[in-house]
Amino acid sequence: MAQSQTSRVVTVSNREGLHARAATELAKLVRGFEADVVILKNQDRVDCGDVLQILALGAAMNEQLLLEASGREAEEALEAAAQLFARGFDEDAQVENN
Amino acid sequence: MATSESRAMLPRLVRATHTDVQMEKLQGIAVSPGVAVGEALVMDTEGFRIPRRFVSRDAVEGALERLNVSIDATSDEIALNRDAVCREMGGQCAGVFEAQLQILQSPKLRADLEEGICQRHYSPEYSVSRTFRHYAELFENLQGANFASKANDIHDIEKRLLRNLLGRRREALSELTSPVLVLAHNLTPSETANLDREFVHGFVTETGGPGSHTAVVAGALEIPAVLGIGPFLNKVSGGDQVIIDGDEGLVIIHPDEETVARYHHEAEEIRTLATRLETLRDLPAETSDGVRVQLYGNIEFPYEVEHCRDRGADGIGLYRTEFLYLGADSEPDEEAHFQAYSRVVEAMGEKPVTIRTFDLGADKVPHLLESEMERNPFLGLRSIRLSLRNLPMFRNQLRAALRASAFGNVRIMFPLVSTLLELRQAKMILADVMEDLEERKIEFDRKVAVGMMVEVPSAVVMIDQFVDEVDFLSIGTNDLIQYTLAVDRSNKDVVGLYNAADPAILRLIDMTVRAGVRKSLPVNLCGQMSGSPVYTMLLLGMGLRHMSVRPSVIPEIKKVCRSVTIKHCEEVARRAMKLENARDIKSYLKGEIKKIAPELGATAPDGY
Repeated sequence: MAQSQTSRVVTVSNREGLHARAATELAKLVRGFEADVVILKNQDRVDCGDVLQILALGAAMNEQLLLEASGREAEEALEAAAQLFARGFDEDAQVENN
Repeated sequence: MATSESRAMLPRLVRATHTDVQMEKLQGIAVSPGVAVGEALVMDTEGFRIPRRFVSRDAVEGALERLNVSIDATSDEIALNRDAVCREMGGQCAGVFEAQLQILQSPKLRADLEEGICQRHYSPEYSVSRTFRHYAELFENLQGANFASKANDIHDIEKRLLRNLLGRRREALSELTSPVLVLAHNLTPSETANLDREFVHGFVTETGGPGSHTAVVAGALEIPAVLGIGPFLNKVSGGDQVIIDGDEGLVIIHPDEETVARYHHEAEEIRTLATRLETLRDLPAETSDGVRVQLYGNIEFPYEVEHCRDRGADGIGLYRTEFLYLGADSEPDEEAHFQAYSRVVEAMGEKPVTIRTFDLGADKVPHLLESEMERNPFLGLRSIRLSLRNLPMFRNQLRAALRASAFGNVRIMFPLVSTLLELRQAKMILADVMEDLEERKIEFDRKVAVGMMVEVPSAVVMIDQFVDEVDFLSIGTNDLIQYTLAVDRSNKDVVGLYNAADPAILRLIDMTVRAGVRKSLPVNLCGQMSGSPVYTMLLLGMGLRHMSVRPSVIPEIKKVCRSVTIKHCEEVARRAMKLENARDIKSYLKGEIKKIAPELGATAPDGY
């Protein structure tokens, strides 16, 4: 059975880029799915489930990244991740809650 | 298979136990003379003692085990912190710990750490150190302040992990039990000052330069020290044998047997010479034609006054007061100053103690408000300028010095005076403080001698004006050379231009001494130049009768004084001043001192 592989382009919309809290959330989220997700930026290809690797990308605001997923829940994983990006990792909401 | 012939030709290092070890000589800046051979104690950037770098093949399993145990323990710690913070301050703050935890759990991180151990046989501590350093650098290089602060998190995790790995084996520098040579990335002046001289027989740092206060403190400790080697710690492990040559500014790692033997021999010779010179302690620094020279000591810390007394110094020619500010969280109050000064003043009895007022830049004193980064600290707001802009601080120091003057023979000296106006302003403040003390009926010496450092070229050019307004002059050649030749002594690219024997410097010294003689004013020289026996005859010949040197060389300089006539010195000075360039002058002087006292004058700190 062929594994499905899908990809999505996402944009980093929060001001501080893909920083610690965002990276942590993303990694946690992705690990909850039965899928391998990688992020591609220029020449770099990192494991989306590894906080350190995400951080090492140093993705700043307005940068575009390519997410690729493979595995049983590849599509669900991508969808969830894309939404997280779209919501700007709930940054503003956090600020408001303070 | 090597034949007996070719085996004889194999270099000795092949017999070493590691395969990648070659003797290496590293050049740095010599800041404290002497040589030492011994076992290295390696400190990393966090001040952690890194034990052996490598583990043997059969220790790899155990090392991996230790790594995993520590990662677990560290994760638990971080999780505990996260939960505690979460309870107290809410989810937001706990996010920091959560992020750290995630980083620590990163599969890539663990893979890197394990690779270090399995493939390269690094010890777990060393693998942690290298891996984390790599990531920290990575983050530091990313754009954006937020990523740079990630580097801090990396450091944090690294520290925790190392703490767990080293456990009780994390021996600080204060818990030494056997002689070591300390190799570190950096040592702050306070850390340096706290080195236990019984066990630390020398030290080397990657950073730092001759102007740094760490250098001065090193000199005060009287152990060989070399600074500014640049990165080299990854080439040595704790326990390696190293040699520190504080005369040449060399560090030799993985030395071969021949080199080790040579340095042992040299260390022995130095010890013998020192013992011989000790006999000079109670003899005066008097030339063989009966001219008395005042030989003072330069000190940084109160305890050094003992060294001066042990060597028979005629007084303290320079009491640097900066240590009170370095490493302190807040500005030292008047009482702190007074305690430090009076201790020295009382110990010297009738002999003069010259207290130099604050001589640092604002960058060394974090609690001052001038926090803008200066582009040119040498030419900036420091020393007397800073004092004149921070009157409360200045007055504190002056009050303390004046109060101390009631207990002995105090002289007050202002550094970096560049104009007459500056000097007058400083004197006015002093007069003001005196009035204040009088009103409060606090005792002090009303006739306390007030002088200045001659270290800015403008002061020499206008020396005729200055001699009318001071009680004494003290030539500070360290800075005078820098300002006159426009050389930054800590800049490796131009440090070769820094030369006390430069004819320009000699002329400036000559001008100053003559001006002093005209007014019967005592002229002292307190830079490192006066501590080098090579220059003693020259200085005496120019008319200098007061020299202030670091205590360890008092016997040497005294020996030279007692071995010459002023007449001969004047001849030497005349000839030297006619020579065209620094190299010729230095050669000539070296030749002359060899004739008088061949065992001295062989070595001199960098630039001298």
